[in-house]
Amino acid sequence: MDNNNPLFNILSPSSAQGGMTDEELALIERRRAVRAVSVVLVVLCTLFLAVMAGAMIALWDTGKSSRDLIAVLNGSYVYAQTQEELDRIASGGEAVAEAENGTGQPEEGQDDEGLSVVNEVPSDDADSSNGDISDMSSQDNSESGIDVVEDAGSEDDASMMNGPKINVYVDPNVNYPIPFSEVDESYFEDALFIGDSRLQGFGMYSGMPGTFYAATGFQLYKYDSMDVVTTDEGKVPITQAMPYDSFTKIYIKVGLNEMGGNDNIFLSRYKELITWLRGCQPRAIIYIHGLLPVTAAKSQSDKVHNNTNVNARNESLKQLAMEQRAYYLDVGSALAGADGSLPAEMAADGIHLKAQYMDIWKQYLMSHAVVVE
Amino acid sequence: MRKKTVCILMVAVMLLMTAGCKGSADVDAKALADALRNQVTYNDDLASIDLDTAGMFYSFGDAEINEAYFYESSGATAEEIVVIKCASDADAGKVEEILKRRVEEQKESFKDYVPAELEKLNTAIVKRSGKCVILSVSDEPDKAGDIIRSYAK
Repeated sequence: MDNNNPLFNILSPSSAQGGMTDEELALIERRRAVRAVSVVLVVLCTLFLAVMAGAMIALWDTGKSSRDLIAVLNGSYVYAQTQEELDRIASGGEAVAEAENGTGQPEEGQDDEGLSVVNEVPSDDADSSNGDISDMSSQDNSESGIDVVEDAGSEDDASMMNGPKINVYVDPNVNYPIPFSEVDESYFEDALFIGDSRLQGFGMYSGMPGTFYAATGFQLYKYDSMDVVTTDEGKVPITQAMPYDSFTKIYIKVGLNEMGGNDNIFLSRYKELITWLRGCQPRAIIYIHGLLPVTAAKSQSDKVHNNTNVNARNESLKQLAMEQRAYYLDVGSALAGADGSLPAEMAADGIHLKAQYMDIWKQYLMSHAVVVE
Repeated sequence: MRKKTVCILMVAVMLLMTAGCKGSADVDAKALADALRNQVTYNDDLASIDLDTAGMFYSFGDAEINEAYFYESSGATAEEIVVIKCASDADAGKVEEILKRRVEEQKESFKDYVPAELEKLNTAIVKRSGKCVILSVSDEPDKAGDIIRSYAK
């Protein structure tokens, strides 16, 4: 280093006096650089915290939560688990969105903050699911600074408004239980069916639309590890294949392959599956299929897969459905004969329904559907 | 003289290639699938499904398929008939691999579920003849093999 350089003398007066080595000078310079970077980082962190604090205060002021903020930032959906929560998000704690019964006919508007809430009530009505623009209405909550849009599902409609949007879905079980209705096949287009070989047979032969994650030998205990879903790269577990927020009905049909085990463990695992499904499909109505009976011959010859055990397990599943705000489907009642068994001609092995009888099952599902108004 | 020999050889090669293509194109996929369905004895009632429905357990990726016939078990057995006619030999090669993989997946599914079905799967037939690929899983692999040979030489 050139100690005659005047700049050097200014920066390192002591060195100019010949009291510091080159290593010491280099060390000092490194420390200065570190100090400068630290100052910049502290400033940036302070700014970030200030922005976040401001956003949180703004949300608190309008009755919103950090979850709503995240939804605004990433454009995802907020899952209102109760009508009160929906109202809170929609109205900022003051006005009440008339989303539950869909009777609100508010006027369009945009708030000062530019926040909009797209309140999408899951609708199983074929017309409304098409996102008919005539179904759209909005509510001006200028006081709370939030727009509420009740929309049957059109993002295009919602995008007509300016500003970031919070998309709110109402828990389909807010009004649980909803009586069964009769629907047509279109109801099942966004349905997911999860289950064993009997369900796979139903998927193959019923002509029912929907997505089937079903496989021979599928077991509830292995739902997160067993390769079930066919992809171009081979089969993968349902947990790997599951898209987010893509289904509004989920039909689960498991239980026969798990017979012989502990009922509590079975139910515990079932609850775990439902919880996981609700996490990734927040708008979905959950249906729990009761087990289909087996034929009388099978029932008499099998110590495990017999109708006594089927009936006992179905009682547990009924109870589980109520606890989980799900809907129990007693499909077996539509297929069983007078003795409660599956008629012998319906199954080659006493268990698996033959193709020509799938329509009975299909008709049962079509007449036992939950339609969220 | 030399030119003449080359021309004769080229014509011969072209004729051979044409004959090869004609052999695979001549496989009547539907008739073969029906023959397997009707002439082999199965424990379950096999029912027909279409290519879209077969997507539940088959993913053919970018393989171009011209015709496909599936007869599937209710789930009680591993019995199955698949006859697929592809657009090209290369596509048929891909489908052949997929059918072989299907057999292995079925072995995995049935080994704890209905182990007795493994015997059928161990003698499953996967055969490619030109652009046509056949899968047969049954209790009568010899009979099924004869039928396949009679249709897809």
